[in-house]
Amino acid sequence: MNDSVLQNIKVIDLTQNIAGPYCTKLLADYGADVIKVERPDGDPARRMGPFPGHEPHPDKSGIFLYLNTNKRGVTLDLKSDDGRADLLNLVRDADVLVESYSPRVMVSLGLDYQTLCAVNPKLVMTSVSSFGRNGRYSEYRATELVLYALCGMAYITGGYHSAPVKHGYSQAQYLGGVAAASGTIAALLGLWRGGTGQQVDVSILECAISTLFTTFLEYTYAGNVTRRQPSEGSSLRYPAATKEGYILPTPGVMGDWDTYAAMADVPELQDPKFATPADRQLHSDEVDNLLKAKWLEKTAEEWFHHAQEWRFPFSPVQTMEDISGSPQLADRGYFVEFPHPAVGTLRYPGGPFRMSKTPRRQAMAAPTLGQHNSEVLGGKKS
Amino acid sequence: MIESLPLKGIRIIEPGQVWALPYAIAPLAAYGAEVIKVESAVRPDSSRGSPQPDATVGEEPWNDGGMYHEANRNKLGVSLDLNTDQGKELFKELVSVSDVVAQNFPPRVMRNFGLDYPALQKIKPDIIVLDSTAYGSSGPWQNYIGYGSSLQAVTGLTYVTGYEDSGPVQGGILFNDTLGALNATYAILLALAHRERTGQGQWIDLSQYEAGVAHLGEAFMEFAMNSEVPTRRGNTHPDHAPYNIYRCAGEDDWVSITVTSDAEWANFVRTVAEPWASNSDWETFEGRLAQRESLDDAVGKWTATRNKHDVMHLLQAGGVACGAVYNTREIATDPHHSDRGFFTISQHPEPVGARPHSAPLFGLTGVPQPLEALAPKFGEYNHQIFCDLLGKSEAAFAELLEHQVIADIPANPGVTPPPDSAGLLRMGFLAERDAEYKTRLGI
Repeated sequence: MNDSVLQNIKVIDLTQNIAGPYCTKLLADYGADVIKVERPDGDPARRMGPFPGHEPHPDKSGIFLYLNTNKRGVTLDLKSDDGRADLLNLVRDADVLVESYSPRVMVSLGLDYQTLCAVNPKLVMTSVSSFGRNGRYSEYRATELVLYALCGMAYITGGYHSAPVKHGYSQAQYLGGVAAASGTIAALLGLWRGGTGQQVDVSILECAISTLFTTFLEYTYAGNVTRRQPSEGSSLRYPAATKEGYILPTPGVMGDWDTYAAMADVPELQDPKFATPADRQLHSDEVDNLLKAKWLEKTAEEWFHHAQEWRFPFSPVQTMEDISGSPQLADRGYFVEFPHPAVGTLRYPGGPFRMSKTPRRQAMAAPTLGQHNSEVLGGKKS
Repeated sequence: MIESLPLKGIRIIEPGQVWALPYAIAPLAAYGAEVIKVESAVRPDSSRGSPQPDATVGEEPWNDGGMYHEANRNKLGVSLDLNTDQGKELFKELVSVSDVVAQNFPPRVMRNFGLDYPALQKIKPDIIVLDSTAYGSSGPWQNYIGYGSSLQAVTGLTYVTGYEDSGPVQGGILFNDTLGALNATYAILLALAHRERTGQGQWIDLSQYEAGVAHLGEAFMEFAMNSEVPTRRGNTHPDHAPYNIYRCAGEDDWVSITVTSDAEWANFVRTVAEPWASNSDWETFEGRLAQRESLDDAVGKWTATRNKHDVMHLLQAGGVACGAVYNTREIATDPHHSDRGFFTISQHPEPVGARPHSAPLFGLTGVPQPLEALAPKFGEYNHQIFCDLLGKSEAAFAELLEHQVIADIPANPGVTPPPDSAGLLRMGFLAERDAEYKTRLGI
């Protein structure tokens, strides 16, 4: 029991990999009773790294451990009659079911929304998939890289003459997970405020596309198709090497150019020929050369604090080591530590926001494969 | 089907700026919440002016910007100068009849106005307040400012983005604003759920820094488990090959191909149907990983003479995950998005005219059609909100206007002249200027 927002909300979790499990992690961390139903050989994320010492083990995957906190875990073969019956039993008194298969899978398992509703008419069913539940690509296959290609972010990222490049790790998947969690709560609110249960449909591709604006609106409002940018005239938008580490020397909209030049201590930049953005574009070589030399005089951390004192939104390009040691995150108690039977005590990232009355709970580590079979399924599967 | 809107009857006050907060509130407005956007005439939402339609500046450019239109549909808008005592009082009156206040000024701003959570809670005990900030409302960096681009660097995303032999790369200037927005939407919905169940309001402290790190969980776990600092690996995957972006026929045309199992590799070999692909070394993932470079070369040679769309549909039909690298024109005109109704066209007053806007990112099948009203013009709902909702007299309303507590037009529109598209094209910042874009979009 807990005093978080979603206490007593029972969630049946058929998700795997990243997007769906991040959705149910967000529900579980804020108090829902999430029962993660894995196929007998486990969520494929159990085979994804990182692993301690790089030695794969189904109960030691770093990504699985992070994405499945506060959930209980059972194994069921949904293709068998027994497994399907067990699942319908679980659904009977559940509030929510979340799944992340491609649209045809739940239908082929005989677990489409109509069937589940017949068992539990108030059920909220959340479906998060690469392309959404309908549309001509709904059964196309996708990975994070394929979504990054189709969402337009790859085309505008990387070197002018190089191949388009994706963001590191699984950004599209996480965004899909958050949107699915929002949809789930919106549907629960609809139910509690006099409505009915309903199905929630999230396309991870659409979530990724939403990160493009205003680049996208440049097309729909002006016909401009943006591409990867030439390095000339772009230095204020890209990481700059310093004495130690990289800094993002964002000018921002608060301060004017003369103040920026004063902050950077490059009085030559106050020359009228650099006054407007168009002027600086025209003389971008000179601007870049003056600043590039300047950035090398201090470390990224020194520039960060110096520029912020002047109210410019500079930021250091941080590594995970920097983040792990961040004084801001330490002061706010961001990271959490708890033990797990297979990997011991580890540090994990904390929650995306703080709620004053209903704090996120962080007590329970991710389940080992089938850990809660007897507890949840009544001893049949121990 | 207004009855089916789940958030009908919930009122949200939004002193929001640019994207990270307004875009968070947009889906709540689409699903029925009454959102009152509060702006200062001196410092209106800086997204109002961009991008201007067809890069021309009309008579009220502050009402014509696409970014503002996209993030503020279905909202009511008032102007209110919170630097005045009367402005602060009116804000408190609004709060007294509202459910949520969501804002994204730096922490000191609402504190200095005397309008932070402790003050607002005294006026409305069950109010929900969301403060969305760059670094959070406490800690040594609490007064530091950050934009989406800054957050990308500080959250660790920039460092792990780029090629194996390059420095860190920034991608998409607004990326972390959207990331923060999606998290803010969820936080508000959670708080509304708690209030629905218990009647209690609360304060939400959202640090975009912390939200961004939470989306790099596996990178952090790599460091936590092995004390190794994750770095850049281009488009490749540690466990799979081929898994990359390959050049196609055409200028700057590319396709992503990702094979994540031996069965998918067999699909690839069968679909490509060429002798080079039937290499016995490549039948297992160990074999493909060991020969990643020669495999990438071979796949790239095959794609180099082919159209990226043809490759995508051919391989997908054969059971291989594959996607063309789309530019914004290709996204805006892709039939899959039409099939789903992801973009719908709204008719704005001239000079904006018809423009496509996107649907909420979570579809609710019980709501056949989310709301699609236009974003409010500056101060458009001043009279409705201050007179009809708060009961001010016509005389009092005229006085507010006269004393510039409220305004009909921004004192400082902050609209920057649109960029010179021809110049941007010449300098290589644009792939193309599409003269036919309106025809393609059906507008």
